[in-house]
Amino acid sequence: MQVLNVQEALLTNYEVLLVLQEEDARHKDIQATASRHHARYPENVTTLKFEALQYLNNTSCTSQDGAQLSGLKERLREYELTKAEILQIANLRPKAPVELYLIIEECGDRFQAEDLDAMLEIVASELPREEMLEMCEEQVMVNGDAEMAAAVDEEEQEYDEDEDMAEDDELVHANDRVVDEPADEGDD
Amino acid sequence: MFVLTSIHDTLKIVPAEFRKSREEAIKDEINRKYSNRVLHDVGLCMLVHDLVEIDEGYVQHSEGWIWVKVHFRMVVFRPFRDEIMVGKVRSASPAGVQISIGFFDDITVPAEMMPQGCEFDTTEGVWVWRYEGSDLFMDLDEDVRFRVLRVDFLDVNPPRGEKEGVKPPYQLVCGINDSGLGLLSWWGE
Repeated sequence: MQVLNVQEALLTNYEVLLVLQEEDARHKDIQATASRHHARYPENVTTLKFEALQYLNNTSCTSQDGAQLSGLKERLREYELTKAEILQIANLRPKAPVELYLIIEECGDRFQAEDLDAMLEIVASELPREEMLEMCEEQVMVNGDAEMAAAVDEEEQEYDEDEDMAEDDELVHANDRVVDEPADEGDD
Repeated sequence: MFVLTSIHDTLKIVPAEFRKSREEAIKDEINRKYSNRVLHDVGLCMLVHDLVEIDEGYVQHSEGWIWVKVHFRMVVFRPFRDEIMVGKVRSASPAGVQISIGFFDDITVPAEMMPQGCEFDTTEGVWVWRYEGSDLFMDLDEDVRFRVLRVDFLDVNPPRGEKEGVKPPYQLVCGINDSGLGLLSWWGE
């Protein structure tokens, strides 16, 4: 076994989400058509796929696509940001200047406040995301209840996922963990 | 957060897998071997991204399976230094806070890297940030933004020294002592 190139390319969360979704669709196809015996996937694969999908589905990359990302890169070109900075902007979808200060190195020296506002506006227009805006407004209005509502919504999403996978033997254990202890996962 | 790593390896395809297409069988074998495992000095392997090159494969005499030399690219979780990420608070102790992102749990924020004015509340068992008169609690399961400061790979091959506790093979040491870092709710989100 030989690692030829540890970092051949950087991947955005969106690209990794695509890979996971493809693999998930392939697994589901095979499990639907093949016999029980042939449909077993090893536990490390199913655990990783499930947990990674769960994490990425809760980030802003679910509403992104290739066109949005190239549009974002094109419009940010004039600011001469490094690859790592553009990658983090795409992954984190910042909404406030304080986030840009974290992502961009020596932000105060390189950019003025107007530049940062312009960048945030570019992010909002190139990576649109309507549902998140509505949820944010709710939270601003009624903090405590909205948090409860958001938590309940998340639990409902988890239950929906469980229904899809209810028939799979090896995933029953994973489902139990999700329902009982969402924050507690084991891995290698 | 994720990188593409180019790897060359020799894998065996057992006869039970011959019903699949060549690429599918090889990809499944790669995932079986690498998925959710830490490669030393590389990172946490997720799934295979694509196959670059495979040779015809050969069968050793006295064995029944095919050995194939594969050059492939793998999606690897490997955050770079100073990367900003979002996770959930998993546990807290006087030594610091443990954060989890679901598929990877060994993310620690040591006590020195907590914001100024933060202390551990032993009655509640959580860290609390005493900022400008108000007490902001770092409750478990809250979303938190953090910066990766250091990446630690530990060689877990034997021989191992005395058992001082199981150390993870891949650990991220992070900080939240900057404006914008810490619980998302502290910064109005």
